[in-house]
Amino acid sequence: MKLRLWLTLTVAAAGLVVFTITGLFFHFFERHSSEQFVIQAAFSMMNTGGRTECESSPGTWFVEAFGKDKWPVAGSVRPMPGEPRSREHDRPRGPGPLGFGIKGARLPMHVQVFAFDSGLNPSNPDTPALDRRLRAKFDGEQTLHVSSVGGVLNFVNDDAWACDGRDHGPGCPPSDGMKKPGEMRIHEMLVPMTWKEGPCAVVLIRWDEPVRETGILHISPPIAVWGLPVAVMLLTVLIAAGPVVRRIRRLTSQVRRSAADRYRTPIALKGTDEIGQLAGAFENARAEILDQVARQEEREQNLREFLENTTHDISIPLTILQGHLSDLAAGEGGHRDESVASAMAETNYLAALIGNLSIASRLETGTPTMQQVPVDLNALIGRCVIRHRPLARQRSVNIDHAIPEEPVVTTGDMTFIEQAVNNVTFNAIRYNKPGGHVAVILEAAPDDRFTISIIDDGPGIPDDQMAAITERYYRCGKERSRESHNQGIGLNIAGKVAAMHGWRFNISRSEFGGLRVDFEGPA
Amino acid sequence: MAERIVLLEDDRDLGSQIVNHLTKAGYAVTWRTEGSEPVPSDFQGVSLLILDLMLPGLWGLDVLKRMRSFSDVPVLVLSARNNTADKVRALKIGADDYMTKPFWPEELIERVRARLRRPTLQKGGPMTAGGVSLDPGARTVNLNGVQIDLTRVEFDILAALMRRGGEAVSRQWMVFNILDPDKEGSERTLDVHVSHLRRKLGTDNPIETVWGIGYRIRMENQP
Repeated sequence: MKLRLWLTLTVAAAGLVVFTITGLFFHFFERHSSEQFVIQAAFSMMNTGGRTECESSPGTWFVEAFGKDKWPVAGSVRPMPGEPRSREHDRPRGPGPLGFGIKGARLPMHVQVFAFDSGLNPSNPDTPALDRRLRAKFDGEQTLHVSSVGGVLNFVNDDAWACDGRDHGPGCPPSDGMKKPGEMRIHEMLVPMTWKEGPCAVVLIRWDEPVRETGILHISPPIAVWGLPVAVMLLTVLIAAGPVVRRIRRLTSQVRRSAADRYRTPIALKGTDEIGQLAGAFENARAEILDQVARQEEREQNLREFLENTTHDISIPLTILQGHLSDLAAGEGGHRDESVASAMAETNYLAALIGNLSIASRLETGTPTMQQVPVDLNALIGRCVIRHRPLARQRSVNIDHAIPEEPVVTTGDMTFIEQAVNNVTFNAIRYNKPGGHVAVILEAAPDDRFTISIIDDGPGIPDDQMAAITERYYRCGKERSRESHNQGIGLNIAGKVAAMHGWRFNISRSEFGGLRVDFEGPA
Repeated sequence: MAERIVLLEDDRDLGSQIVNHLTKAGYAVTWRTEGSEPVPSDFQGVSLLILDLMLPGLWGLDVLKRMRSFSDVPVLVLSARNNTADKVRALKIGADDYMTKPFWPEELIERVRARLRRPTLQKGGPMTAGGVSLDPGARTVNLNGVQIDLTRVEFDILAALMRRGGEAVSRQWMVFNILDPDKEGSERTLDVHVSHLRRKLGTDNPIETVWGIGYRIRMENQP
């Protein structure tokens, strides 16, 4: 649903509630004021001569009035000249008893007044039988009012009207036939007078009026009362909704436009209201998306470079390997041992590279999912040395290791840790000279910390390259050499693994001239 | 009698290579290729199962799980997948060791050997290496049947080396665990003690210096 329609419907619903409440109020107020008017008129009439007339001839006294705008002052039979009236909308209206002057209290059109003594006995034989309810409840003090639907108020004495039964003539009351009994309500009001004695101590006032229906339309207050406020409210809402709707539309179109060009266009809607805040939230989300996209693109770029470099890195040893194998196949006996040794070295290199690529791809995803399991470092060092013994033998490098008697167990990802130790060990052998040494030592310190040291007496790394060697290998530029860069990726991974386990990782010159690499962490 | 090994490997080339190397190393190998249901009779008198996890038609871990329900033969798992979750899963199901491809045949043989190696030294009992025998309980050392006098530190160094049966022991470990830290806590002091010990054990003494690490006892069966 559109905002504007929604607001309009809301206001309309609120208007309906206001309309109903004022309608009910008016309904009640009208009844009350009509009643008060009748009582006051009765008192007024009796006080201004009515009592005297009644008491002087109680056997014949009654009042019958039929008129438009005023009651008879007093009298036994008092026809009210005027236009014949047929329906209630022409009824006389008088000022209400309330001070703020609301007009519209409906006045009775056809009224009869009869007198009773304090025992509710009428002196005039024409007096109609008193309603049972009135007789039962009357206590001499309270004014009683009952009404009943059905029947019409008959004239007490048609002859009293100087109309000879003519209908509709000027000055004549309408015939009873005009009133349909089912649509009329007869009111009877018993009003005790202040004097409380004599044949006219209590006055019965009877009048009739059309039955009013009680639906919401029939108790409707005057349109002047509810129409204007509701109209003003509606208009206000519509006018106030205008800018809001316009701002929301602008925001919508800005967000759409920004989304259409991959969130490069900023959302420019300003303001401190809720819509401005919404725009701010969109702008923040846009910045976050841009940031994510940038990181994603950077990762993709890295991956592409990684793949390109990897392809390059793998193709060289494979080519060399192919060359050696074809030499061996051709049976060029002279260089046989040399070819085999070189081919084996290339496969070692390939194996190490592939191991690292798998690990590096996992490390490159930002936060690698690291398993936390107990890792027996004694067994890990043993596996690492066993793994590299064939390589060491091929290259005539001595490799030895030492582990404490008691197993040293740390917590971490055994694959990453093993790869880190393997990398450093591999480098120590591969970049060593024939006859060189490599030692892998696990020490447990008394303070529940362990150190894994890999020491060699190879050429080591020049001091000026020591810091750069752990840089990401594919960032080293096109001229990087195969020899140095695998060392780079190996150490780089070792450093990263140490960092993600919170270990200290240190590369230094060993006391034997080669490299010394230490991992230190909690056991 | 040669120890029996069952190999479950689906790759023909790799399988025949492994069989070849294990046979040359002195093991009796039964090679099965198809990942059929293993039955208890397959493992009678078998010392080790080498299981490649990439068997076709039957996930290797399922084989392992079923086999573990009736046998506790040690299992060495071969896998191309090098990640911790896989290793932990395999070890949890009952694998004893896990090896990732690629590997050199020598590495496999060494791992098999390490798995099958029985502990030969009784802890706390007398130990011998070459002409030297040491009784930890009596704290006596005999050289070719003749008891020799050693200082406390010399005895402890020799006992530590012999206890490890041919494995290298680092200088640092010995400094921490044998030397009195208050008086003589340096590796140079240790070297002096070792040189005294060597002199007492004669020219044919079994103590070797291990480069970058420390010392070890040369055992007869070591290559």
